[in-house]
Amino acid sequence: MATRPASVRKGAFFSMSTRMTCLLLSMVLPLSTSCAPTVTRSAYRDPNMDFGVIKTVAVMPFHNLSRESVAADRVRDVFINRLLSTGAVYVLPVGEVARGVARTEILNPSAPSPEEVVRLATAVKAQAVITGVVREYGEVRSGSSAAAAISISVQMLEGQTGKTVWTASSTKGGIDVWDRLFGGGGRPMNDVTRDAVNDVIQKLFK
Amino acid sequence: MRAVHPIHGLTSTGCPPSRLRRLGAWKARYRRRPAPAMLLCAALLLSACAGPREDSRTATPPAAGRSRIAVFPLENLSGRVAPSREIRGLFLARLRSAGFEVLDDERLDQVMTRHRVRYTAGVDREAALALKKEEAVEAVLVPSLEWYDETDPPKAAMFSRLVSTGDSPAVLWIDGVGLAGDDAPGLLGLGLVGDPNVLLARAADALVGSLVRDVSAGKNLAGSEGPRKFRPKLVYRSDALIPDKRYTVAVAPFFNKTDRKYAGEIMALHLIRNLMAFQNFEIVEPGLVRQELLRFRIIMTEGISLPETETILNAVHADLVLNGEVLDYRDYRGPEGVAKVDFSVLLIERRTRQIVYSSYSQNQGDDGVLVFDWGRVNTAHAMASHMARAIGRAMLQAGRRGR
Repeated sequence: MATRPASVRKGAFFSMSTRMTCLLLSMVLPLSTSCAPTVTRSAYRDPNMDFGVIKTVAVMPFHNLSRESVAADRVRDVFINRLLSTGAVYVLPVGEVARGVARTEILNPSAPSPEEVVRLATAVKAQAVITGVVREYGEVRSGSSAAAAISISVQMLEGQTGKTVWTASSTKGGIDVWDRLFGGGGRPMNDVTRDAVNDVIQKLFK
Repeated sequence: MRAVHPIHGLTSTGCPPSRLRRLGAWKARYRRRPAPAMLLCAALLLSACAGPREDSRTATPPAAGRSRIAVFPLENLSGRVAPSREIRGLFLARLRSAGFEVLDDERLDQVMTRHRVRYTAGVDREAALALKKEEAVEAVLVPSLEWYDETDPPKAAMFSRLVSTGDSPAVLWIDGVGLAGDDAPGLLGLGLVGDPNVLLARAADALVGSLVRDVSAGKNLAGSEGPRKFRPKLVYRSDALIPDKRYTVAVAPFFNKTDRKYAGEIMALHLIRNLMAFQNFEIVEPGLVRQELLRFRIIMTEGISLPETETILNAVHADLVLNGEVLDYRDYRGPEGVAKVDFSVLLIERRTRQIVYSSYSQNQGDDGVLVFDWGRVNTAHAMASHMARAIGRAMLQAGRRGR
């Protein structure tokens, strides 16, 4: 009985396997592309805004969504210090901002309306107003592991129009593989806060 | 209140000299046979005495012919009941033994009643002038109790400042001390202190000793730079702050966002004390600042505004106003726990009306502690003092012209 050479049988097998692979890939690829993220980023910059004209900013009290009562004050302090130390903009003293808020009768200083922003910016002679939200601040737990975590978002509103010209958010800290395997409690809250604020400010100057 | 036992003959480490002599003899005996394991054990045991603590030096011997001073009632900033009269008594006794002529309480009361002086945590112009003219008092000592806890191990922290009298009262000297019973446990815990009165006596000794030394020398000493870990975590410093220039600084009350009563006043005292150590800064007496704030009816809702800054600076003839907020100031009771201090500082200049210095500091007592509590700080006072000193240095860039 005439038998086919081994090379032919092997070739047939591979061609079969290749065809199956191609088929699988053609099915998986369209499916996997549907999982890809849409075009979302953690920062927005108004392309029409000239950030060079902003010399003085007023940083409003941050809105606190965490359980820590002084989290917003702490993050605002770190943010003001970091922003001042860049040398790019001058940040008004918090007392001056508080005086402006009182004079312009802003009801909710952590979330002012565009009209209130314009009034405040005129009163304190600032080119922009910055608001922020502390979404998470403190220790997070997973099983026996615990670590410090922070999540903040910040937005800049133009002083003349009250329009949002820049937003950025950052989340730092949390439990990583090392913490899960070996424990240790993660990094200090202060370091994590500094990292998150640095990250947000870098997004402004990018 | 139990009897107070004055402690004499202590060394700068707070260990009695007899104990140190014994330790020296022990070390000399074993010097010939330096077994490595023995040396290692000794080093580890000795290291328990070596935390970055506040000084607790003894009062120097009495010196005759010193100034006539008045001692104001103790300002209790601890927010709890404390033996205020006894502590003031300790100061009076030590000042008299150091050669100061102290105005008696009856005459002090008469002056205060006559001039309706109610605020005794500072010296305003009227009180200073009255004491100078009517009683020929040259200076007023204002003692403040920051913390007092009798729970074992006991803790005590105090400030004291000397303010000149006359028509322009000025801070002549200020110092503070924070002590805990377990600051220097030493070998086999022999250095532990369980009696709070011993701590109070040590604190009074240290403060009066510092005053006598300062008056004798006529100046303060900036001291060593201190541990690196106490430096501010974030710093902004404007070039408008000239390191070689001499500035007059008015310290406005700090905003207290902690659950500790009077944390704002305590932090302000820390900064006054530590900035006074640098010859570039002259500090306006806090009593004067308070008087001007009341006179202009300035109520600060969240921080100091620019018009308020200008008003205060013009009233007290200062160049800079120091302000800030305290986010955490925590001492702990008993042996377990950790002290925490968290605050930010803002310095506004009169000429430019701008922030020239801003920093954020945060530390806790066990920062950088790896083994055997080496380097642990037991009181918030001691930690805040190091942090405030580091701020003074950061303002002047690497501590230039420390005096």
